[in-house]
Amino acid sequence: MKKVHSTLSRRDFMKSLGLAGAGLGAAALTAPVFKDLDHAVSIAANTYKKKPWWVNERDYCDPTTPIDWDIWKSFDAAHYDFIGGQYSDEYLAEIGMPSMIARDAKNRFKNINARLGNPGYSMRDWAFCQGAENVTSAMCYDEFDVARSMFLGDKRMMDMIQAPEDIGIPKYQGTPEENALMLKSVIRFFGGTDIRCLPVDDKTKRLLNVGENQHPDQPYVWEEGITQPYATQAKRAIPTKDAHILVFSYNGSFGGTMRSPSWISNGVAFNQCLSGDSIQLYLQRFMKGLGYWLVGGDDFPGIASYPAAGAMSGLGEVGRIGHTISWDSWMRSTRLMITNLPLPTDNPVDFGAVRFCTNSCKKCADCCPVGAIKKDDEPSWELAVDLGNPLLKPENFNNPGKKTWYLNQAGCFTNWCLTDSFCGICMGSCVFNKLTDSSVHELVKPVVANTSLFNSFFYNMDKAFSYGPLDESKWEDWWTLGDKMPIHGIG
Amino acid sequence: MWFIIGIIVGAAVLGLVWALGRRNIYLNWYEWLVGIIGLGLLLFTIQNFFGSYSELEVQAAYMFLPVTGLPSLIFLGVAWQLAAKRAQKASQK
Repeated sequence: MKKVHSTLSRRDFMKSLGLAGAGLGAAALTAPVFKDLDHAVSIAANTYKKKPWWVNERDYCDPTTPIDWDIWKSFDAAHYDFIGGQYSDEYLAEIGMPSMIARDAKNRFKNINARLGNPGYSMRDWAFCQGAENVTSAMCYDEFDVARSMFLGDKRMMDMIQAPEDIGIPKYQGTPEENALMLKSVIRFFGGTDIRCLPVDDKTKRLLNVGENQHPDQPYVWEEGITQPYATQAKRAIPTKDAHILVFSYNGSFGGTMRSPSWISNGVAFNQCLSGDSIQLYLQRFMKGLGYWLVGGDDFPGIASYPAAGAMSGLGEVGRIGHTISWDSWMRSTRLMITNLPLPTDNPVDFGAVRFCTNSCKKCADCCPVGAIKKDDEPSWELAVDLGNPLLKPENFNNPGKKTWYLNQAGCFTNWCLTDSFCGICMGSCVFNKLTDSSVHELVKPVVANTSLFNSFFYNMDKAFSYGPLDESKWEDWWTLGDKMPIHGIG
Repeated sequence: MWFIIGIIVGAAVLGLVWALGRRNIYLNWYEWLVGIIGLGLLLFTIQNFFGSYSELEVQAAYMFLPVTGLPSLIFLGVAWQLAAKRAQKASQK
């Protein structure tokens, strides 16, 4: 019988077995192993704020945006206005008002008719913009039947919820870390992404606005000696006893924002606000069910400076663009609420975003059609400036006391008028505005976080690779995405 | 996709080692190094090409081909040629 010899020697076979075993062992090392249930719970309690090794934590209330604590204080958002008195009546008449603000049919006919048929301005896009508009806040009424009142949540919706004491059972109890992880879980279910927490003290109280321009007669007031928040027609009172600050983040649609400026990006921006409002309302109901109170702001401008809250709590950094830039994917919206649920304390973070914006990158400013974003190399304490507009009142929308690139929001608004949209070109252009599908971003981000040596190189490569908003010719592809459209457009 | 690519790469490397051993060709450490860098760059290029497409960055996707794809082919070519030339010299002796 003919013998058949294998070309694989015994030595090679054993070597292959050994390699396979080593590979399995390496894989096993990465899997978590719990010694017991307490060990598992303690691991869970500390994982509400996962971040990569290259995101560095800073000292408490010391964000990468320097603050002058002698100057920075609560912003009077009761008089927040980037439209009124900022430009001459003739100029405003010339550029017109955007359809989302001046809603009469005559103004809308002028705006829509002039643009219908252009990419991003089709009939479907306009219908999407209207349909996606934030309606949660419009459904919220307080006990005085005042609309768009979200401080305590909509009265009818909150009355549906029975607190534990209403049923005669003890309220929920948990450690601050367990509570934070619990809130992260429920926020993500409701559509958010992440949370961070802050205590209530002299520094963090300044994050809150004095009041809001939708209800200017109801300023936010901290009160000692009360255990429940309440609202009258003259104020919105927040207890200082056991109060903690919760800051949560939520995404908008990347694909929609890359189609800025258009009615598509408008609808996306509207819907993003709706997400925040819905999460807020669901959270308020959830918290009541646990036996705690949770207060928040109206849909616009909100109870606090949300980008500042994002930076102070460690959800990101506020760069040249003025939004909270997150380290893991594109920039997020953040929202602040106050509760008496015990929560831990988080610190600001540094992953090189502000350093990148300083000296190396002006992409958002270069892309802004109206020059509303400062092009200075370094941030400064100076409020927004427009040498061509002597009427500009930056104190109506900039809060002094931060060293940053203060946004000329009135200037930004003029592009809303010119494009009949909320614009968003800056967000689409930002170098940090990236999804996480390409591995190159995971190589660049740790380098940017640890050294500024290559910042200019990365900025130039970003331009060379043409990252940024989609070309207009691709905007209407939005309507043929079908299965490829991510849920809620968030991908 | 990456599971299949992993299997293909693993099989290719195993096949290469077997084929080299059969012909009594052994690579120097620097030939291994250049080859591994080339393979790494090639996989990096493939991943970022498809990843950029997913991110709606079509132009970025095509930019990866010359910027990292071409160097990967050069590295692989250099590794191959170094080994081939050395084997040729050895067989002429």
